[in-house]
Parts: sequence; C-alpha cells; structure tokens
Amino acid sequence: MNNISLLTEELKVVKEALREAKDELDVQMWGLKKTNEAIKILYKELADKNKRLQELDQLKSDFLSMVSHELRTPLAIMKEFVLLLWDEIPGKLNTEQKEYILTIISNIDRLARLINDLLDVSKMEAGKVELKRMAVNIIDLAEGVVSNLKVEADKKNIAINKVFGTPALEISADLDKVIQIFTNLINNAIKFTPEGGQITVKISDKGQEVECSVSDTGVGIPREDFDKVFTKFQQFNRTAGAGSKGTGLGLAITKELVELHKGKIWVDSEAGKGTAFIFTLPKVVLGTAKNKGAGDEAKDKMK
Amino acid sequence: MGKKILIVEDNDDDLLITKRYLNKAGYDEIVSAGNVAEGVKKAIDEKPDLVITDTLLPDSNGFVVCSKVREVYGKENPKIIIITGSVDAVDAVKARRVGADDYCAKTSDCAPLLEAVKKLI
Repeated sequence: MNNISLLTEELKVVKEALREAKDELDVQMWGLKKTNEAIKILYKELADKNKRLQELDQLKSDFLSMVSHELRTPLAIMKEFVLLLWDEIPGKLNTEQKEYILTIISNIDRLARLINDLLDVSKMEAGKVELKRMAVNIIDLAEGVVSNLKVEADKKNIAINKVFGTPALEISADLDKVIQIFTNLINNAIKFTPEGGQITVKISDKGQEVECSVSDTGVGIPREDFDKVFTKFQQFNRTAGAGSKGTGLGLAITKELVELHKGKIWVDSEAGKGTAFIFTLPKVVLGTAKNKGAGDEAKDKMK
Repeated sequence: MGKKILIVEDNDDDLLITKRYLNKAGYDEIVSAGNVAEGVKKAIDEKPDLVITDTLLPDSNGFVVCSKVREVYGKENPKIIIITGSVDAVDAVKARRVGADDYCAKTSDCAPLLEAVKKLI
C-alpha cells in the first residue's frame, strides 16, 4: 500500500508541474500572439505613411515644375526689354546707365540659371528624364569642356591639367549630360580653387567602366560633410571668389546625371589640400539601342 | 459611457492623442498621470474601470504600475492595458505575467488601443 500512496504523491507533483508548465506556455503564447498582432499593425502603419510620403513628394515635384514654368515667362520678357535698352534702341545711354543695365542682365541670367536648375531637379525627381545614348569618345568630350572653361580658369591663373592616358575611349552615354557633368565639376573646381591653384582632370579605363576625376587645390571639405555635399541647396563655407554665387543644385544635378547612367559619384578631400570628385560611368549598359558615332560631334559642339 | 479611464503616460503629445481618440469613441471620464507613483495613487483614489499605461515612464515602468494595481485590487478589475511604442515579445510575456489584460502597439490613430478598450469595458 505504501508504494501506491508514494506513486500517487509523485503523480500529484508531476500533474502540478505539468499544469504549471502549461500555464507558462499559455503566457508565452499570449505574449507571442500579441506581439504578432502589434507588428502587423505597425507594418500597415508604415505602409500608409510611406504612401502619404510618396504623394507629398509627387505634389512637391509637380509644384516645382509649374512654378519654374511660370517664373520663366516674365524673366524672358525682362531680358528682352533690357537688351533693347542695352542696344540703345529707345535712345542713347550714359556710362552709368550702361553699368546698371549690365548688373540687371547678369542677375536676370542668374535667376534664369536657378530656375533651369530647379526645373532640371524636379524633372529628374519625377523620373521624367531619359538618356539619349550614343557612342561617345569621352576623351574628346572632356578636352572640349576643358578648352571651353580655360578662359575662366585663366582669369584666376589656374592651370587645368589633363591626365587621360589614351587619345580615345568610347562609352555609350548621353552626350549632353556627360558634358554637363564635366562642366559642373570643373566649374566648381574653378570656383573653389584660389588664384594660382591647380585643377586636374583624369580619365582612366577600368575595363567595364571608365573612372573620371576632377580634383582641385582648394580649401577642401571636412569628412563629416562628404555625404551632404550632394544634397540640394547645400553650399559650404568653402571660400569662393567674387561672382561665384551658385544655385546650390549643381552637385545634386551632377549626381543624378551620373546615376542615370548607372554610374557612381563620390568625393574625397583633405582639409587644406584640396578636393577630388570621382565618378564612374559604365561603358555599356545592357539593352542599349542605337549607337551613332559621336566622337567628333562632341568636339564640334564645344566650338 | 460612464466608464472611467486612467492613462499613465509621460509624453504630453501621446497623452493628448490618446485622450482625443478616447473622447471621440465616447469615453468622457479620463484622468491621467505622468509617472508610476502618481499613476498608482490615482488608480487607488479615482477607482477607474480601466488603466492604460505606457511601458516607459520616468520613475519606473508600466509593468510596475500593473503589478501594483493588481496587488491592491486583485486580478479582475480594473482592466489594464499596457501600450508601447516599441513592441517586444519579451515585454508582451511580461505584461501577461504581471496581470495585464492586453498589450498594444501605439499607433497614430490609436486603432488597436480603441479595439482593446471596447473589448474590455
């Protein structure tokens, strides 16, 4: 009889332990179920907020587009009439009047550039920019841009060095946009390099892609600002010369243009030594259609 | 609806949002507390039908609120909901252990909270 009562006791203990284990399991199940539900809800909230963000983004792009167009019209009219004044059509001008008119013209031009940049940015953000790909000799293209900008560089006694390694390097790209990329970067370099400084434009063949860089001997950019450099309307305290008020959009646009080509762009800089903007462009992107020879066309465009 | 709700929450914006949504859903009697000590005191003084508490509080946490209230009132009433901005399975289990009736995520429309409230009171 003793054995049976011992066994019964043990059974009671085991049953109790089992019940406790089951209760514990129930608690864990409850916790997991609640967590699951909460995660699902938070996920939906995230999706909703995302959708709203996209709508706002689209609204902003549309607004930017419309405003840019609206602003251009009166600006064009202003330019027309100011040029009539400059050409002395309504009557002769004295020296002071000519001076004032020059100031007006340069500011109209600056406003026009800003509006164009804004329009560029909004079009790119709206995904409405398409590349017109063709065979481009990037060496010729770069030579063209450099000779175009040599006048500005000479004004500050800045030498533009070319390190090209080869006389011809063909890639499939949008001619005008690559010209814009080089122009933006070299213009920036000229702006931020002090008198007597150096700018170096390098192009190298990296097999599947070409790597280009534009480096200067300006004040440089601090490391923590490397990422911000390509954001819209960022203008750093890099000391620049007179007449160098940019739009703050140049680099943002340049980055978009490089990435449209499926390339990459980044910056490297050392405070006090200088800055280098480096970008890559793939030679060919699969699925490209028409390839027209454009090597010489590039040089002609620059004249 | 005649039911009294106590909200223990230290973030003023969150408190405002929760109050507004509860009011909209027809719950007019709402009292609030900004920390655990005040929360437990108000739970004892105001005798709410439901306590909603955030997990993170300046002097302690919502689980302490829950277990202290259960200590005073027992397992059945008031109903207690623990809400959180950072959902965590370990917290959820803890909530059940200290005797909470539900564990909800904080969302900008308070939908999960309102659903839980409706079910409990």
